Amino acid sequence: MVQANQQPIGRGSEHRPAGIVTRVAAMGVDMAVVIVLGSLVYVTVAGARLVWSPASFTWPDVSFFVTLVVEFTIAVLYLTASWAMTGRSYGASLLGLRVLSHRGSIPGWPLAFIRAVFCVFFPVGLAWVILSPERRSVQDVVLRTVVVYDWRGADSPTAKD
Amino acid sequence: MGTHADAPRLQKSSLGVVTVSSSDRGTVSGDSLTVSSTDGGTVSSSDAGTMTPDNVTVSSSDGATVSAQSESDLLGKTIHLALGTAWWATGPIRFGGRLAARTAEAVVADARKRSPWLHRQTQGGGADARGATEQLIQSLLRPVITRVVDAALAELDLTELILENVDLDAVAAKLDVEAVIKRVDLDGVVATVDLNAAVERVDLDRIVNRIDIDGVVAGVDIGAVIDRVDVDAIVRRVDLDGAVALVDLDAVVKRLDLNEIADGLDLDPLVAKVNLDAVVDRLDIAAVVARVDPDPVVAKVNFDAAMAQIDLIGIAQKIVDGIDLPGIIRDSTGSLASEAVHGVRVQGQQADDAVGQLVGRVFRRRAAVDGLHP
Repeated sequence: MVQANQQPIGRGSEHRPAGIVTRVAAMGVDMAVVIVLGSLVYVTVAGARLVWSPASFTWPDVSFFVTLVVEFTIAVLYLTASWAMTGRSYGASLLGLRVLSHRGSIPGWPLAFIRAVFCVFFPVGLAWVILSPERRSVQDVVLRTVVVYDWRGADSPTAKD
Repeated sequence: MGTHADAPRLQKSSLGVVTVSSSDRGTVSGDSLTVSSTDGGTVSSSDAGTMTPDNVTVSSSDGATVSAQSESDLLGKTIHLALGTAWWATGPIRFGGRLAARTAEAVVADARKRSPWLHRQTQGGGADARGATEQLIQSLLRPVITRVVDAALAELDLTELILENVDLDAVAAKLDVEAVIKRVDLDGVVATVDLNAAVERVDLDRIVNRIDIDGVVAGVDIGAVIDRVDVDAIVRRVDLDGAVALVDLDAVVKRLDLNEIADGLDLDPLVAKVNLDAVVDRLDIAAVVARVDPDPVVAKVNFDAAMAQIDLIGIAQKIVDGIDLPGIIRDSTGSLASEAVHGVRVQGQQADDAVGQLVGRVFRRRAAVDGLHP
């Protein structure tokens, strides 16, 4: 979805589709961010339990499943918000990448959420970048998005779908 | 010549003329004065008491008798007698002459009026004839009149006569003194006066010694005098340059105690009036500083005391606040981070391109097309 006053981001040489190396690096940074956020959630919960019952405080014993759910949830929310607001997560910002819709604008909230879920639950789809001549992952092919190099400021693209 | 106290006085001149006068400035009446002469003639007092005969006896009713004896020389008496006799004898002749001259003039004037010819012939000549007649009369009478007047003036004491018979006070009261003064040419009078000679004759020292200068000065209103003096005009007329040129300023300065003068000066008001900015602008600061030897000055400075008075902490705080050190650190770290990020991005992009070229060679794709949108 494109707003009336939004302008598409150009696709010149400086906005070439990003390769597998930078996108994997960005994904790794984002995974670290998600792990840190999950740890903060764990520490927060533990702190709440300490405040609630200091005498009987023990570190929360979180199961793997819960941990996985929480981490996935944090990852979906983090990526959705990052792509919908600026088109780039922290990892993408660090590596100079930006996610654009097929119109060349920042993805809207629905598109960002779907792409976030798709990426979290099917990260292997990123490997298609290696084989794709347009350096598109499976998510990009399905959702008609593209990840390009963009070394400008984080908020330079204003258009959204 | 003896006289009674209230009797008329008799005076006899050298010419033998006897004058009778009264001390009460009145007239001598005929019943109180009898004048008789040797020739038997009697002259009454109404004839002004003057007789020409030699021997005259004057007697008054109160018994006073005066005898006027001829004491002058015989020649003088003879001359005067002859003149008197001649004058008396020629009286009718002179009267007849004047009458004849008047008659002739009247006849000639009447004839001129009646005859035009005579008028033309005598035109301009009548005045000559009349003038000749007058000239003849004056030539005859002038010596006689002159002698008579001289004799009268010699016999009369005019001063005494005026003092006794003239009321000088009344005359002075009727004088218009102001008009007289106005008619006087004072400038001309002063111009004729030899003031230098007059001043030289004055004994100024004596005059000055008699003056009570203290009293005069005490009575002078010095303030009013000073107010009336135009000091500005006086100063303008003074040649100050010439006066100053005559002063030996070096000697004056040597005699001055400048230290004492400086101690007595209140320099603050003077300095307040000085335009120090203008003075500083005119100073060649560089030349002044170049002449200063800083080493002795620095050697005398107590730096420990100076540093103890300086708030170094406060100054450092102000410097840090002014420098904005956090901003500098932020900018420097940001630049370092941006350089590191830029390096990572470049390396990642090159790695992407390397992978793309490798895949392209594997799948026989053109490297240039790899990564670009169709």
